[in-house]
Parts: sequence; C-alpha cells; structure tokens
Amino acid sequence: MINNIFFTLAEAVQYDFMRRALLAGILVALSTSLLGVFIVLRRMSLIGDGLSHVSFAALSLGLLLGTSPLLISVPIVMLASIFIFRLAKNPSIDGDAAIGIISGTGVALGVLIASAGKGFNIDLFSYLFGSILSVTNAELVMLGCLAALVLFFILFFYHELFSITYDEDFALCTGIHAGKINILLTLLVSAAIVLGIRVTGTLLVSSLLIFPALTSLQIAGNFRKVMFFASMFSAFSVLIGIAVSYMLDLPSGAVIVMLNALIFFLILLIKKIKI
Amino acid sequence: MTAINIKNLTIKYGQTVALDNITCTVAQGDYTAIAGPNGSGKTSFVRALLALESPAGGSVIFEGIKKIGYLPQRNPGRQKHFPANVREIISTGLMGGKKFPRRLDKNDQHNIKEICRALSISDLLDREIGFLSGGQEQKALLARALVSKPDLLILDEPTSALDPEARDNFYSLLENFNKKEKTTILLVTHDAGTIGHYARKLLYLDKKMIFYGGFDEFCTSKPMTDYFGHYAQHYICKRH
Repeated sequence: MINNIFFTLAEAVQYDFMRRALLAGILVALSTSLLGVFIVLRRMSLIGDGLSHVSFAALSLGLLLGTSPLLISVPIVMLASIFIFRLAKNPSIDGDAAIGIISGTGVALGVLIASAGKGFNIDLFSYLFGSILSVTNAELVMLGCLAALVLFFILFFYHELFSITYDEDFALCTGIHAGKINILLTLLVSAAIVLGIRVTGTLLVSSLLIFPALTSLQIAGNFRKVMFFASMFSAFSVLIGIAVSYMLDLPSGAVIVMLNALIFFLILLIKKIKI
Repeated sequence: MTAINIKNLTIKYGQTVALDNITCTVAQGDYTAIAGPNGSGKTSFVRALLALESPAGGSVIFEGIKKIGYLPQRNPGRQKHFPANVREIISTGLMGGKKFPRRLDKNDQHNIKEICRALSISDLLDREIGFLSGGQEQKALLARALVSKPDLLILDEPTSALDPEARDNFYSLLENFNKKEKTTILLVTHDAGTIGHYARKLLYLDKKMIFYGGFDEFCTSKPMTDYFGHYAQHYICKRH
C-alpha cells in the first residue's frame, strides 16, 4: 500500500495539474498549520468554522457576480474577522457567541444568494467540498504569497506572538501592541481559510487549522517544536491524502481531513499506552 | 514624589458602575494593599491602571514610571499544558522593550537566574510551565513580573494558590523588594488580616473609595470603625 502511494505520487507529478495540486496543498498545509498553533493555544479554534461559513456567503456572491470567487472572498472574510474581533470586545458578547452570530449569518446569506442564482449551484458545490486538482496558476501565486506572508509574520513577530498567546494582558503591560498583532493574525487566518477552501472545501477547511496543531501539542513540549511538527503532520496528510484520493478516486479534501484525524487519534492512543 | 495620579476614575460595564469617582495619588516606593469585598472593583481598578480597561471617566497619570511588572489573577482559561518552560515564560518579561531580533543577552540571562534564586525556583527553570503546582506557577509568574526590575509592580490576588507559610514568605519577599529596589507596589488582596503586617498603606474599595491611607490611621480611625464595625477593623489590624 505504502509503495503504491509513493509510486502513484511519482507517476502523478508528471501531470501539470497534479504538480500544481501538490504544491498548492503543501502551501496551504504550511500556512494553516502554523497559524493553527496560535489559534488552538488561544482557544479560538471556532474562528476557523465561523470564517469558513462567511466564505460560503462570499463565494456565492462571487459566483453570482461572475467574478473570481476566491478573490472577492478574501477581503469579505477579512472584514468579517475584524467584525468578530470587535464584537467579541463587547462586554455583553462572548468570543464564541460573536463567532456564532457571524457564522450563522454567513450561512443564511450564502443559502439566500445561492437560491437567487440557481445556475451556479454546481460551481458552489466544488467550493463546499474542495477541488484541489483544478487549482490555477494564479491561485498558486496567491497561495505562495500567503505562505511567505505567514512565515515572515511568525519569524518577525515570534516573541510578540509567544507572549500574547500565553498571556495577552501581560504582553500589553510590557508594551507589546497586542491589538495590532491580533488583527494581523486574524487577517492571515482569514486569507488562509479562503485559500484553503481549494484543498478541503468550506465545510472542512477549519480542520486544517485545528488538527495539525492539536496533534503536535500531544508530542511536543516546546513552542517551536509544536510549530515544526504541526507543519510536518499537515504537509504529510496533504501529500498522502492527494495521492490516496487520486488512487482510489475519492474526494481529496475528505481524505486529507480523515488522515489528519487518523494521525491525531493514533498519537493519542500511543500516548495512552505509554502512560 | 508622586508615582501615580488617579483623578475621578470611573469604570462602567454597560449600566453597571464598577468603580465610582476614585481620586488618589500613589507615592513612589509606596507598598499599598488594595482590599474590599467581592465585586468591589479591585480588579477593575488595577486593570484601569494598566490600560487594560477603558475608564468611563477620569484619568490615570504615571510620573517617572518606565517599567511595569504585572502578576494577574490565576487564569483558568489559559491552555492547561502550554508548550513552554519556565525560562521561556520568565523571559517574556524582558522582551517588551527589545528591538528585532529580540535576543536575550548575558545580562538578561543573569537577571533571570538571580530572580529565580531569590524566589527559590532555580530548579524549575527547565520545567514545563503547565506541569507546575499552583504555588510554583505563581512564583514563576512573579519572577516574570520582577525580572525587568520594574518601577511599579501590580499584583492581583497573588497569594490565592499559596499555603499560609508560602504566603508569608511571598509577602516578605515583596517587602524586601520594595525596600531594596524602591519599587512601588500595588497589591490586590482578600487577605486583609495578613497584609497589614507587610503593606504600609491600605486602599479599601467598595465601588467607591472607602479609605486610603496608612494602616496606623486606618486602625485608629473612628469613621472607619463606623464603616467596618469593631470586629472587621480589628481583624484587618490585628497583625499590623
């Protein structure tokens, strides 16, 4: 089976669309898994779900207007993320409730737009479940820019991010501009969610943020190692997931997420046996 | 010399008034205990000083304060097993003022070792923060607050996880720090019966400022007896 997967991978890279898919998968895996470490540790895991639901509405709007759905979704989801951020500051609204409000509104709006533009339901279906094999060169460039931005952001603001993730109030007292860093982080997460839709679809994209970070936290006791292992687990799941889905003719997004889940539960089991 | 000038500070959450029109000045080198019943606005008060809370009215002006150390209340919302050791957590107390690439120099490493020695947690430096006991974690967070040698130290119920002996040691350590380094200390506590032995001033809040002044004055003041009753006043003053 393992030999077959590697043989398939070697065979698949001869095709142009497959090379694009693999590269796109790795770039998305890298971006989402690194950002996911901060999201999970700050107990903001639900934000991925909330923003992916908003992107459903934004993609529907893009299809209705006949423009590039991903291009129109990035700024809309970014605005929604800032809105969630502001809403959560309201003392009478908890963070998870703020995400719930935006999330529900996003899905409702998406359904209404989809029902108004009956003709594009098939296109919308591909965004719901992902279609990594149809990644275009322009999307690949966008993914490359996103991965570069995420890496730069983490390298440049590592100490600020570490301090804010552990204790935001203390970070503020030491003069760290936690508000600005938080906004940058949410904007990057928004972009990663929208562009990650190509790989797993809106329904599963938040898994790319959560699973690798959670798995990595089970085995690494050091912040840098958590980030390293998260990106490794994520890249591995994407590569093997694409190969398996190609071999067995299965939807790649679902296979990638199932692989992530499998690794997580396997590590949890090994940990339990060791204890 | 004044360190903090607080004028008409008012904090509201919606329609609820958490703090009403507080005016006082804290002098440099003061060691002030902030006490009061539950919901009296103690935490809101220190959060407003730290600019973590926006006041509905009034102002807070710092004079000659360059570095602030802060020990928050224990935060149950924090990730249980945060992937970092004690050394990394303490070093966040030094990173605020540094420019990119923000590396710790020899002097910083020396300061971390010194503060850990003073708090008897040198053996915990390489332990994961999430695996410490409540008291050990509290000391590690105090080390983080002290490592930058702050001019002002604000502590919010720091002894909640400590046993009585550790609590007395903790207060003594703060007292020494206050005397040696001339650090201004504001300490929120429910532990009014003990703190009178260590702090020199008391700020008693109950949404309004009920009392602000020295413990001697507090313990002999007739109006305070009327407010607290004989027993409560005696309890606060018994170790003073």
